[in-house]
Amino acid sequence: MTDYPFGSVLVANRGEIAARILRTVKAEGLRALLVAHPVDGWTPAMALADETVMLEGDTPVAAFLDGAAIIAAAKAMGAGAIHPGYGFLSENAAFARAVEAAGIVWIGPAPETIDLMGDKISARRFVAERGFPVAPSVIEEDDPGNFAAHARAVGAPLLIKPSAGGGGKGMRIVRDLDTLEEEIATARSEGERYFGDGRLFIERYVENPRHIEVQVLGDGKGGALHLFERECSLQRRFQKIVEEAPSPALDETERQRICEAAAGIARACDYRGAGTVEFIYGGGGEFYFLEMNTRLQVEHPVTEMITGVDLVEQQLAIAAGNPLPVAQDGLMRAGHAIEVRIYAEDPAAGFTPTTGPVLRLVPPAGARFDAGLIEGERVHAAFDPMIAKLIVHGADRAAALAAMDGALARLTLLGVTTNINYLRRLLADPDVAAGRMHTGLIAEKAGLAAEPPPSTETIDALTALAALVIPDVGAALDAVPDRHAAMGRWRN
Amino acid sequence: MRRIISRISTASADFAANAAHHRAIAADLAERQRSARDDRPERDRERLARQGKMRLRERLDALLDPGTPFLELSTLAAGRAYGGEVPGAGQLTGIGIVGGREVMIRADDPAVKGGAWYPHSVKKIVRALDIAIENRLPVVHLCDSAGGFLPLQADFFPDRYHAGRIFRNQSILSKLAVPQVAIVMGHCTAGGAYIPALSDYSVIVRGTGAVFLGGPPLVKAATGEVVSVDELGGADMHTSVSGVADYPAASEAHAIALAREVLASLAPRPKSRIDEAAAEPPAYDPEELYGILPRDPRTQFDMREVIARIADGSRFHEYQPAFGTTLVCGFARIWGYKVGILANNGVLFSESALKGTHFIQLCDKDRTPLLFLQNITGFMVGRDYERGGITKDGAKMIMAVSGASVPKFTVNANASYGAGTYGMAGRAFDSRFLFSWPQAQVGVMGAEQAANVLTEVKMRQRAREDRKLGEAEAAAIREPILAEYADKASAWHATSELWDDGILDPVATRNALGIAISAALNAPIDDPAHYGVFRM
Amino acid sequence: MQGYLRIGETIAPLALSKGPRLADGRLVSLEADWLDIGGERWPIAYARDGDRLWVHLGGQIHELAWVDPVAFHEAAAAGGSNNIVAAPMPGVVVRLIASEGQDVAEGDPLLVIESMKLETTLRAPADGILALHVAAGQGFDRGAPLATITPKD
Repeated sequence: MTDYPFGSVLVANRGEIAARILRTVKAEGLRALLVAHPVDGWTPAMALADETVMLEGDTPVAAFLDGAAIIAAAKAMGAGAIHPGYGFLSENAAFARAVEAAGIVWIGPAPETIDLMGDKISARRFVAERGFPVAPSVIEEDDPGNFAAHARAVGAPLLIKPSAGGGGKGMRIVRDLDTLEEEIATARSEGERYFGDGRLFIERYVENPRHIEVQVLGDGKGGALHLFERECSLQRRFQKIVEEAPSPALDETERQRICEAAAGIARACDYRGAGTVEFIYGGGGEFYFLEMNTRLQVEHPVTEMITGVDLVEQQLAIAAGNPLPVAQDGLMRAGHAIEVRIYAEDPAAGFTPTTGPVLRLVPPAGARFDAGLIEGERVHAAFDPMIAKLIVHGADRAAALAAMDGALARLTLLGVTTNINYLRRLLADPDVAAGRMHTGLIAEKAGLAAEPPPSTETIDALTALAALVIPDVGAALDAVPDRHAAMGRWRN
Repeated sequence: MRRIISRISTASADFAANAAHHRAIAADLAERQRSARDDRPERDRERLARQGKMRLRERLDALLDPGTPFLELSTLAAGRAYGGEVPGAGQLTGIGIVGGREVMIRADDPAVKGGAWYPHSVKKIVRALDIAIENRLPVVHLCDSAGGFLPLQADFFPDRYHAGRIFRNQSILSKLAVPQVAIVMGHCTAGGAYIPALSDYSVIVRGTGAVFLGGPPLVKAATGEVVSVDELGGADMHTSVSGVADYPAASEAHAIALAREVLASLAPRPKSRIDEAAAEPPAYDPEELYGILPRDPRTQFDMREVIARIADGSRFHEYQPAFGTTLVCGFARIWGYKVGILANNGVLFSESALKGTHFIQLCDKDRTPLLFLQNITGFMVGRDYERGGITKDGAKMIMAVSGASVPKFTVNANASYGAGTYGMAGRAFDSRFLFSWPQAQVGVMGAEQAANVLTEVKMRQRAREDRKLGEAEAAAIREPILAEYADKASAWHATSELWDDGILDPVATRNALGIAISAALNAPIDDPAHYGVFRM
Repeated sequence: MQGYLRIGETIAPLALSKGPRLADGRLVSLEADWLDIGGERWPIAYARDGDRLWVHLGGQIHELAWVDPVAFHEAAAAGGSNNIVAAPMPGVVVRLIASEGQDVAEGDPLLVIESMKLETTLRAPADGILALHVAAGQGFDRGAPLATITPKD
């Protein structure tokens, strides 16, 4: 049992991740504290928390971005530590500083590390200077007057990225250099609009790239450990939909090189806690550093499943000043894990977000289901549409895919349109099943979004159900006199 | 109630020969009905298709509740008239279930002479509305008619039970709080305009439906005004300006859906209660009726065998089994309903007439509907019988039939002649429904008998002139009469003239009666009758 | 007939008989988590939300809407007569551009909505008189009728 210098942890987050973190907090014998917004109703996180304080704000999102209010709540509840989860203020260095200044332990890397890796340009420079692979690129600041010329030198295809951006927003692919200036202008205005920062950098774009990321743990003193890689190539508009560990694209040699690079980067910046180094991987073994996320990621469960390590437990332990749990050569992996993100969206209607009551929720037995809602509550438009994660483990990738198909088939979520049917179709796709994936694959398979028409057997079954449960249909049938119903469709 | 024990041998040669004969007749009936319902000139089909109209049978299927029966009436009306060019008299009538309600459906067939009204058409419509009045059945009108067939107006306009009676009947239905829904799917011109106007609810299809007292050509001829069909009487004008119609519909399917919704939302009316039990199919196979009925209509058969193939569980409680044996009386159930059956096993004698009279009164007191299975050539003639008072005994039976308050149902199973027809609730005696079997005959007397009587009269005439009637002359008198009677006494003629409500395949009789009895119970049953004077 | 079932893009007419029985005569019944169709049993879960029926059947989630027969035909016919501007996704009304009763032309901007940080301008689908059903600041679900254009006649 770990010794903790704090007796309680406040989780400054919501939904599935708040519940997941609180579960480990409680398992570690610590007091579980939570902040929540009334629009979420009753949630699994609230059910787990020993104490919850309600937040206010102009919008629910604003409430979770109100650092001062969160710290005030922490003090009111006597929280010894704050875990920020992912999104919201998890990569906000100013918030991390304020937490530490308030005498509360920050479950995360040092604020300087957040600053370093939060700025795409500085992160890239840091990594390149230490000899880790980065894509050929141009940073606008270095020579603003000749930015376009340097870009041309990188060559097409290239990717224009806002330096303050993240999560895929504001990125533009340029294949035709004639359009370069126009694309640069558009990217700059979007950068200003979304992130308040118009600075850009351009890097070589790898065609049909695969998104490979490595989980790392650092002790904050120069020591770091990798926990193997995850592949997250199945994305739509840069939002991840399916993640798995390990990647079917890598052989052991490549795996070693990429994971070691990640661990090396973590050591180089004295990383403290859990983090993820993202790479772009092209066929033929070329890989380039993309960015480092200084927080726990949504898809961390697949790593937990193949290594047996509870990453939140490690975050708490490291924050308490403990060393890393094991040496690199003592860490084994077994089997294959897959995670799908369940979104409240309508694939058939361009994936637009949906809302509605959770009329029925029955998670499939035999799979891990991290959900932020319970039956009887509502999915509303105030937050991100990801409402749950479904994770399975199998002896190998084929077994994991089969297990996931079964789990998706058994998952019952009624009342709000989701991407569950779509996920089954996606994972059954021959290219996905064969592991032939890249970040543009989902866009190429746009036809999968449409719900195939139901079979006549299904229509019959649904018709039968309608007769039995829709009152107007039942009433129309009941109105027919019994004698006439017994004669059926008789004609003289 | 005990089961009838059948005494016929279904393996006998006679049975087999009867069965072959009557199956062929049933097949003939089926084909005639199919033709009357579906065979339409190609030109008329194409015109309907061009106008975007559904065929009448499609309209009917869309109107009726799925999985429910439809008892069509007088399918072969006008079958022997107008050179056979107006099948069904251009009308469809029948009882079906719409929105859970038992209703009378009455529809113009636009594929038969444009839905024009011939004299037989008017008679069929009036009969359908009479049935609706007597049984308090809501009516659905599917209106799509070119109007009256003017060349024959003298035969369908001026008289008491001609076209005016349609509108009088509609008014009486409304007075009795029996709703009517009219769906205007074509033109309703002149008299026809009153059908939706006199209906409690009316739906009109935009584009094809129109209601006006005079169409554009007549208006132009009368006043010189030039106006389009739609402006003069279309859906939007009538549902938003004049108020002549209630619901505009964008299509026929929409109109039918609206009519169904209206009917489903009507408050359910309580039905009359009679003795009912769970229904049970007959223990004997109804198809054996084909083998029981004789090939020659003059051959006697036992009506108990017929009852055994119609009644629930073939059960029958016979009343006065040893007295007046030429009239079989007793109680049975049909589709669960208890009925009192009177059925002929021979000529009516005084005893049979008295038994029948008594039984009718018993049923009236018991609130049991009456079913008459006719196979009657008449009352017994002869000196002893006249001295016995057979005429007044027959009169008593007629008095009882006429005065009974319970609903009556009649099936002419083989023959219905003379006063026997009266005593056995023939057409004039207000049965709620009267059906014929295909080989049945109806007339003042049988063809043979009529021929014999007329020949006898001629012989007496010659005798007064001291002459004899030669064989050739006798034949010249007999043959035409036999032919005439054979023609006009046949069920095909009777049904063509609407002397019945339709010809039934004997095997279909049980279901038809089940539907008919159920429909009849929508009307109240008066208290047991105070009869007229029974000549004692 | 008892209306129509909208299953995604498919419309299935309901022509059942009392029993209930499907059109081919098979008797259907429901007990706990099983749907019995003519003796064949299907595991099933369902939840009803007004006229919408959510069904989990055969490893798929189905969203059905029951449509009343008259409403079905009215909607089929109403292609031209009334144009409803429905919300393409759940969100909030940022501001109104056109006003109640205004005579608008096809393509004229009517109102601006916001959802998931995306602002969208909704435009008139046809010429006619505008009727607004929402106010600035009001939230709505996907498919909610925000405005109706009625052709002038």
